[in-house]
Amino acid sequence: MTVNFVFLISRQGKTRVQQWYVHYPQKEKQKIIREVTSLVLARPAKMCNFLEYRGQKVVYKRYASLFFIFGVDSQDNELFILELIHHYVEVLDRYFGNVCELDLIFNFYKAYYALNELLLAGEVQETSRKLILQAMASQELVELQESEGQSVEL
Amino acid sequence: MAFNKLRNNVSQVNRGTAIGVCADLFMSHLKDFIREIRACKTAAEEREVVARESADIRTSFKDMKCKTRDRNMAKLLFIHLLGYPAYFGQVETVNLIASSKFHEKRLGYLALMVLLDEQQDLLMLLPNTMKTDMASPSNFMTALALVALGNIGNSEMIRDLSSELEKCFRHSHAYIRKKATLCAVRAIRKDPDVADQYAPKSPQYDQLVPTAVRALKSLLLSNYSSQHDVAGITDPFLQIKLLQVMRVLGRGNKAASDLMNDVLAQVATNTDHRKNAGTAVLYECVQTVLSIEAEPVRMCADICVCCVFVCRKEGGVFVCYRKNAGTAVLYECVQTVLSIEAEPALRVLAVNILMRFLARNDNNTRYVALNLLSKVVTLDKPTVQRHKKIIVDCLNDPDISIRRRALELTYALVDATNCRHLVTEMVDYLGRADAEFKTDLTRKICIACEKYAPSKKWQLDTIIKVLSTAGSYVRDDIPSALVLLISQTPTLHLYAAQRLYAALYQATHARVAAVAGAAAPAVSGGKQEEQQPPEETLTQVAIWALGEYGDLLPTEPFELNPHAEGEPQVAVGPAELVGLLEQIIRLPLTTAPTRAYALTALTKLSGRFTDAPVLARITDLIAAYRTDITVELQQRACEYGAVLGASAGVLRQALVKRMPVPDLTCPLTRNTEEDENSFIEQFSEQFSE
Repeated sequence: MTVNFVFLISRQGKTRVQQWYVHYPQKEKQKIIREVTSLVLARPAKMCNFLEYRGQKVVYKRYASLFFIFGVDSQDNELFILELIHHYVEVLDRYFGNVCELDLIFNFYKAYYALNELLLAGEVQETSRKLILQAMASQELVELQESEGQSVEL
Repeated sequence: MAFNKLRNNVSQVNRGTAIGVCADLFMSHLKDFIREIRACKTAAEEREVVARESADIRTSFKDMKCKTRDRNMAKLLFIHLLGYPAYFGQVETVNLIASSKFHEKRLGYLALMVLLDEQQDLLMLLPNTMKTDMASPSNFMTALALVALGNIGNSEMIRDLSSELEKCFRHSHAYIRKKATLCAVRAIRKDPDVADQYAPKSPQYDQLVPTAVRALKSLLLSNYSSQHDVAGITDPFLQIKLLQVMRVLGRGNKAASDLMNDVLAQVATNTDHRKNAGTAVLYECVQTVLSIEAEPVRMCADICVCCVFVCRKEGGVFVCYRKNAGTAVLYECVQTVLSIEAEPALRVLAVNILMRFLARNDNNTRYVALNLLSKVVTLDKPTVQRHKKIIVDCLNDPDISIRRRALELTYALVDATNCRHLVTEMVDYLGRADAEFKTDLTRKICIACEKYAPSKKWQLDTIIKVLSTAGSYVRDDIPSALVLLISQTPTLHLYAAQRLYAALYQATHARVAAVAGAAAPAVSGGKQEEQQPPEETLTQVAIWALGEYGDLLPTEPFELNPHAEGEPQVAVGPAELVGLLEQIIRLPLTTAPTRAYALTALTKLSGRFTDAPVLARITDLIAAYRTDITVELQQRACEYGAVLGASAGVLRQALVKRMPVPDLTCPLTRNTEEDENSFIEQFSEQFSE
């Protein structure tokens, strides 16, 4: 079971987060994003959440104005991936408190930080929402202490 | 405001202020920039802002003493997300990572993963810094380096850092150990040879079985835990992973499988399948049951019975649960029932359950059902066969994923008994299929015809229909299969000539009308010239057939359109036939290869007909191409002219004789006999040949 890529795409087709776990050349990446975006955005709400694309499976789910798109191996358990997407959304939701697209635009790097606590090398790393939030909070605390120290010096 | 909830959630750490201060320091500039971008009304305006900012960032990166590197990098990442070039920030990521400040380092590693990939030489600069970070007393520094290694590490990096990575395995914090382990996963994927390095010296995997079983059992029995709970199931992610591990451990290992039996049955009976999470776990469980050496009958019967029972019980309830409720049950039922030598009745029941799901509205369920049915069909065709109507209906689904699955399944279902019905459905579908399916579909139809067609005549009609509906999508082997079919079946010669004459007649007249109608060629001509006109392939086959067997046409009048009632029969004589070929040659859109076919056909016909005016017309037509701009046509015209000339005499009769029947098998089925399931493999084989 491997996740090959993760995108967050807005309904207008703007990329909010893109993370790759498999190597593609830059041009190829842009092409994949473009193609997957247009495939996913064109699908009405009632259709199934799975798409076959270049021998992989694309599992996506829409939350408000954002599409969470995971590209996975074709043998993977699609339902597991759907659950994983929901897991990520819940982490973001608890972190931001009723997350909305604007939160993810202005704090896009935090969406990345959260993703990096959740997935590593395309595998699930942490299944506890609490531990992920704690890890993020503690790192922010380190940053805070550092910046306070710095401001005292200045 | 957005962070209030968070503050409540994590009470140990006073985070409210943390975010507040960080936001002041570094966020405000980034936020201003993002706001500015979002305020842009046009793309040109946005480009201008980005170009200006990029220039500033680039300048700032050159200045090593710059204090705002972090916020510039954050802006650059945003620019990158918008799709603008950001490669000039790559070197800066290395500088940021080398910084002693945690937040710069954190951002630097993030930028590294976003802006670079494993193939860039720049990564060579990193191992030393990463080594220090991995050995750092701060867990978070170590974690940052590990995440980077796991997400973009290449084999050299992994080799350089392997001793640090090994140390991380023994780290006191699970947080680090988890990350290190996943890094090792990547390391082994990149380079399977290093597996020994990370695996225990004398692996005793059997010892893992009780551990896995215990872990799974404790998950099943554990009380509600808010942090791991998903829809009433404790950590479905871990359960699924454990099941996957057990699948690997139990494969071909009777003793290990015996240990797992109980817990697997527990998973199967206790998991609430009505939510997606439970369904996912169940699906995994059945896959595991299938691959280990479980006591086949007892285990599978247990699960089967429970699944079937659950399905029945929930039959009415499913309407309320519009989610993925029964999906995994379905996966299981079918997979289990089919893999064991279950009673046939159970098997039928399982397929029936699948079909019930297929008829439901929820598309995720239908997708999985179709997916499973295509696995089932190889094992138990007749049961699925009974439901072909529902499956064929899925061809009309608005959802392309479902159509794709349905198409695969329909093709898998075709056999001698239902060929007429299913292939007709597939040909009907061809007209409205998505362009990307057409090539594959035409091929599938023709292969199905070749294998199961009730009669050669029917096969001929079907292939002609395929060519006239999707002529521009077919590969070369389909027309050659058709030509082979006609020439190898003497009884079909006349019929083929009639049908192809009719098809050619209609296509040509449609084109003549189009040319006459399109006074402004830009409208209709523009697109057609890029691509072959759809009937090109059909035209060529028809011209060939008329050249070979056109002389049979005058023997019997026939209808030009057999489907229309009361169409008068027409008698086609030599003059009409040559007239049609002439029309095709003269049409402006006809391509050079088609013209060449037509010239050849005319030459052949010259030997079959004896009317002087017809022969004179043929000679004139061919002579006209002696000065054609295309070398191929010019050459053919000159050579055929010589053949037609008086001096050729006896030679001509021998030259224009009917072609001997080639002794070949159909090009479509030649490769498929080896592996009829995978078309992709066949295509790639063909290309590599």
